[in-house]
Amino acid sequence: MPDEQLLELYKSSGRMEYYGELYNRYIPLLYGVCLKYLHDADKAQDAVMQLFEDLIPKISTHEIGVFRTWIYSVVKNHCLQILRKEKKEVLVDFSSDVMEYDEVLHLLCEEEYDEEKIEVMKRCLQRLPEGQRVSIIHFFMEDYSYADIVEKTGYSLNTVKSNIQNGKRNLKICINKQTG
Amino acid sequence: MKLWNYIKGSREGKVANSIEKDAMKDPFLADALEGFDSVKDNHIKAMESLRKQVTAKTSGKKNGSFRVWAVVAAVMVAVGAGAFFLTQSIDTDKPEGIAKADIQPDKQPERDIIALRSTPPPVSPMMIEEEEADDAAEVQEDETAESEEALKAAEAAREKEEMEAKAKAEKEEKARKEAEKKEAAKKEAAKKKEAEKKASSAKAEDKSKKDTPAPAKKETNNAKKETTAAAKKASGKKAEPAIRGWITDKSGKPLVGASVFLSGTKKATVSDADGYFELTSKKAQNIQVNYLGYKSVTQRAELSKMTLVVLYSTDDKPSESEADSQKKTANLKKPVPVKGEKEFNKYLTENLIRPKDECKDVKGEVVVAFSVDGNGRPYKIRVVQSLCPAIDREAIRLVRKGPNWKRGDTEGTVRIKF
Repeated sequence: MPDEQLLELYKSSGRMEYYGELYNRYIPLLYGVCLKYLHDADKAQDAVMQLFEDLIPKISTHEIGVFRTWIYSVVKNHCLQILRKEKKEVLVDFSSDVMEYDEVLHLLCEEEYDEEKIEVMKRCLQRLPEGQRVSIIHFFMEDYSYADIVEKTGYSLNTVKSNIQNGKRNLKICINKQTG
Repeated sequence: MKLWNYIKGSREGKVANSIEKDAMKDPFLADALEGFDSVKDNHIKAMESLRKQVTAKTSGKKNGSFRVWAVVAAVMVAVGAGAFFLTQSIDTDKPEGIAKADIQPDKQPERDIIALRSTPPPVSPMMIEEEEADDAAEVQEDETAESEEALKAAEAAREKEEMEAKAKAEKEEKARKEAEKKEAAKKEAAKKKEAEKKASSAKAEDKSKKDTPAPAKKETNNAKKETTAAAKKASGKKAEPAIRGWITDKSGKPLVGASVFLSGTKKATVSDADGYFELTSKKAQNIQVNYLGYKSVTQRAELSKMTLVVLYSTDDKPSESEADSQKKTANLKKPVPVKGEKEFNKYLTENLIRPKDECKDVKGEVVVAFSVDGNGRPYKIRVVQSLCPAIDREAIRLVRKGPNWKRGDTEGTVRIKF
């Protein structure tokens, strides 16, 4: 059952079970986000439960389009408020928010039949530094997980991640240059 | 559930990879994964306890604010109904009244009328629920039952998923243990099998690449890989048909991290520390091997045998026929055809027989190197730039049966276009 349907059921019946079911679906994501911002397991758990209570009055009155995007922005704000109350300096890395689904990622992730595009990509792959090239090929062309690549190459997890991140960026630059 | 297992620590294989790819497109997921990795704790336990708390707080309860409205609305309905029956008792069962009603279509007409007249303007879904509570208790019960059913179904589905995942994990664990047990035995068998296989493929290879230095490590590599494959098989996964082989430089040294593509596709892999590679493929195909500082090579790869790819450095002095014209000024003379280059090319075009097997559509150049004996006959003929097995064989045949050569200071090479 889609989130929105479950939400609608809750709104029309007022039965808390629906809300509970919906909220439970998001526990892993919500808890993870709270861990990221609060850096503490206990605080993150409290935050998730507090948010659960806070949302009860809001959820039936707010216009919610896509529940997933709505609750993502809600949980982020919730955590930032907690940090502000603690009067801690808020040091949050928003870099992951800028995540556009660009053409290169599409080219790497989806089945591609345009041979010209593939050739350009291969040429560009060759120009990447060794670590980036190897990591990119393993991750996108062989569907290896980060952990698989760590085991296969002996690079550290962080190296693998940054290799893929930087490799993707360099590929994009190269491909854009080649295709004009 | 995939995510649950990932958080738990199942970070290997395609399932993990797909979550990691999803995170690249989904900042919510990316943030969450970052969070799980940044704090070390039993996240599963925490999430289970959170879910329990949420379930405990929600089961069998109705929203509080909702309840207040319910009481108000119930009173209004009662009053309204009374008034209604007093004034229009004759018309109660006539449905004409709905015409004015801007209410949900799935509702029953008589209750619509009551609602119209009796309730103040609260939000309509609540209204509906209330009238049902007051007027048609059995209908509401029905609905409750329905929603309970839906909830139960949803919960059951989730539980089932969890159970399945758990069962799967246990099964895998079991399979793995068994595989470990069997591995020792399999290793021996695999080694033996591989040695046999190697012998036969080596024979075939010898024909075309007589002097190509075979990497000394090959034997051990092979045995090792075969063992992994056997272990995989034992753990329940079928060994997929694949193109397998080694990438070396001209001296036979394995090249680590060379890219191997299936020609014309995006499928690719990288050679490992032994220069070994494996590419899933259902049929024999051309592979393209790229490595920085080396010339790219495209060559035919079979499923049945190991493919040896030899890469030549881009810095290598031009040693092929393209060098022939430049060589006049060079100190070392290469062998040349006795009757001249032109005549030799004519011989090639007249005698070349294109193979009819799976190599028939392969186009490109084969470079053959050879030595010249005292009688002007080529010997030690070998392929230095391969194209496809049958084509390589034809290139060797052409040189072996071809015209005489004038000896030079170095090996002779000839580039044959197919």
